[in-house]
Amino acid sequence: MTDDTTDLLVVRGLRTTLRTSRGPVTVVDGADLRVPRGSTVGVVGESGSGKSMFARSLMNLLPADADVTADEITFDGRELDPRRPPHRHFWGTEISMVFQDPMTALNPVRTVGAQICDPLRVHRRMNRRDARARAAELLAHVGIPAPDSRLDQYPHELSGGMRQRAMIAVAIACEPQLLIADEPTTGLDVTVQRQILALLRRLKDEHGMAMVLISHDIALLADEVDEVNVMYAGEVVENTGVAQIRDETVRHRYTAALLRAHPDVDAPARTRLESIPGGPPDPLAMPAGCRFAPRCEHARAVCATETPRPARDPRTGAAYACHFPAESAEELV
Amino acid sequence: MRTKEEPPRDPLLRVDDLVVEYATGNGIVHAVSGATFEVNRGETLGIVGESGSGKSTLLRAMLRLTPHSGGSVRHGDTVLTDLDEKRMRPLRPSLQMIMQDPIASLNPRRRVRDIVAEGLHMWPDRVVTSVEKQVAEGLEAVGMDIGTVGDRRPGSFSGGQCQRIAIARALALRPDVLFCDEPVSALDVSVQARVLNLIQDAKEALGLTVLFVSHDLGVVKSVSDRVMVMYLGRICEIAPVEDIYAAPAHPYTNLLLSSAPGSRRPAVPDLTGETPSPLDPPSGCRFRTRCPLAQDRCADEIPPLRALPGGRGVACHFPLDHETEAGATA
Repeated sequence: MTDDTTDLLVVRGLRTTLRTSRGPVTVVDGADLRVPRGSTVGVVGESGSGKSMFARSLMNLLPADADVTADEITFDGRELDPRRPPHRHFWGTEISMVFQDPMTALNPVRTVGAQICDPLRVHRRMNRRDARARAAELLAHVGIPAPDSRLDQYPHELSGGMRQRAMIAVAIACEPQLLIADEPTTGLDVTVQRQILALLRRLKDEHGMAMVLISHDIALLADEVDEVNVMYAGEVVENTGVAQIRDETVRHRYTAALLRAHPDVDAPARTRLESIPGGPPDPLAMPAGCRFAPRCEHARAVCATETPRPARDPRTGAAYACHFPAESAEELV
Repeated sequence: MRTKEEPPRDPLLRVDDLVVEYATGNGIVHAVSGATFEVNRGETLGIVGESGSGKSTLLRAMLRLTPHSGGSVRHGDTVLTDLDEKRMRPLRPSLQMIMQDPIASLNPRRRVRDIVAEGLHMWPDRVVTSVEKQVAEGLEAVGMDIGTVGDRRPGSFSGGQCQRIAIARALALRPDVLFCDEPVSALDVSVQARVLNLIQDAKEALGLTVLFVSHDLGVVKSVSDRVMVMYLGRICEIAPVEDIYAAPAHPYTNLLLSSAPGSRRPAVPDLTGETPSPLDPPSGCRFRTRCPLAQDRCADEIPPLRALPGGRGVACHFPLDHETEAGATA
């Protein structure tokens, strides 16, 4: 059972439904997430898995007609109504978010300085001068050289890596307890990605912040996080420790297939990758039973009719929902 | 220390001192500067680099899709860079390209069978059997059945399926060389493996030569026979895939490999952390501003791409110790 004193965030059974022209679509369907204090928790999934919608549901960043329900959301020991924050400064000061593309997440017609001052002025009630001084400190803190001159620049005047640093400065301006980073390095070069990940790691350690790191890249998560939540078709199908990801002793068949499809930079050269047949299901026509069953080479009749019940690996503590889970490392090779 | 065997050479494409420069309002962009290398018949040459490295421009200039400012590209005995567009056209079917965005590279209004047949209608001399047969074979090579997909349009396919259609379109022309520009970077991991395997299978079945541009070091390692690393318009290093991943000789290759997610290589210092502008690249070695090993000579002299044993080439005044490790793992 979860211990409320060690978990910063506990989410159980979160369900998000969007209204679309084709009818209501449940993009997150009964997802659980547990973030211990000071930890980094990963969420991995492919496009359409619901990982970004999950994050946006927690940040209340969905369209007004979206419907978010949950069996439980507890943040810092307080019960949360997914639609109503405990106080008006909740988002931005207690939880804040870093987005994938700083070019679209930052306002292109306002200076970087003005955008870092916003949360300080609104949430911290700082005056203009103090906010500007603090913004310069924050820019220096996220590793931007000559911060004073950068304050008056616009986002397009910064390189991609610098823009992402500026957005991180906005997100940490009010020293949140939890930072949700949604694909924070996608679209950046690999040497810049390394710097941004090192920055997030440093900020997390210095501020004692917890972090939810969302990525499509399971190798990146294996480097950065303590545990991984694997999403597929709106569901969290496996929650496992990073050790199980690294040595490929995962239980859910989708996680195992994802690891085998991933081109590993340390694998022998010219290794043929194993692809997963087919594609993710249409969210308007989700398969009955296990949603991965139509693509799963281990699926049997029961997989197409019965939803697998959550199970726990007695040895590793990993949680997974699979009728015929992978049994051993040997089987995965 | 034993001497490494030289890999066999059978160059199909030779690029000699190729230069691509663009004039812009802010000055001249040095996109590709003095690229010299060969592509052997039947090999896959992976080309890696970060944004601004010139890897895509190099590919496009080799195909004469972008004007070059100097140097030459040979395909067999033909000097492609001497040809005007009219004389280049008959060669195009044998030099096919797969682009990054699979959806944008297909005409949304046309049926799949017409998309795949388009090249054969433009170059009737590439029709060996019949148009229908070659279209069906092209689709079959990418695991698609013409009866099922032939009359559908790109909009009803996923990104991975569209990329397979684009590959079928290229294969229907029975090309010699496939120029792949980030062919899987828009695809999910579970789907990209399938496209990579298709390219590999087609290469083996049809004896293709493949140039494979990607920023993803894991992808390049899984498909390439040799790997070429580019930085800011220049070639840093070129070597057989096992050797370059086991023991990079160029400090930039080392930085790149140690930065890759999942890499077990120790972290390498990166002095400025920013790629300089291609409008005003550093003098001498272009990597010197970030290089922890740079000395005065690196600013004064452009390091030439020197041949090393084992078919490796490196453009560095002070290359890393690559022999011991490569020898140990070989």
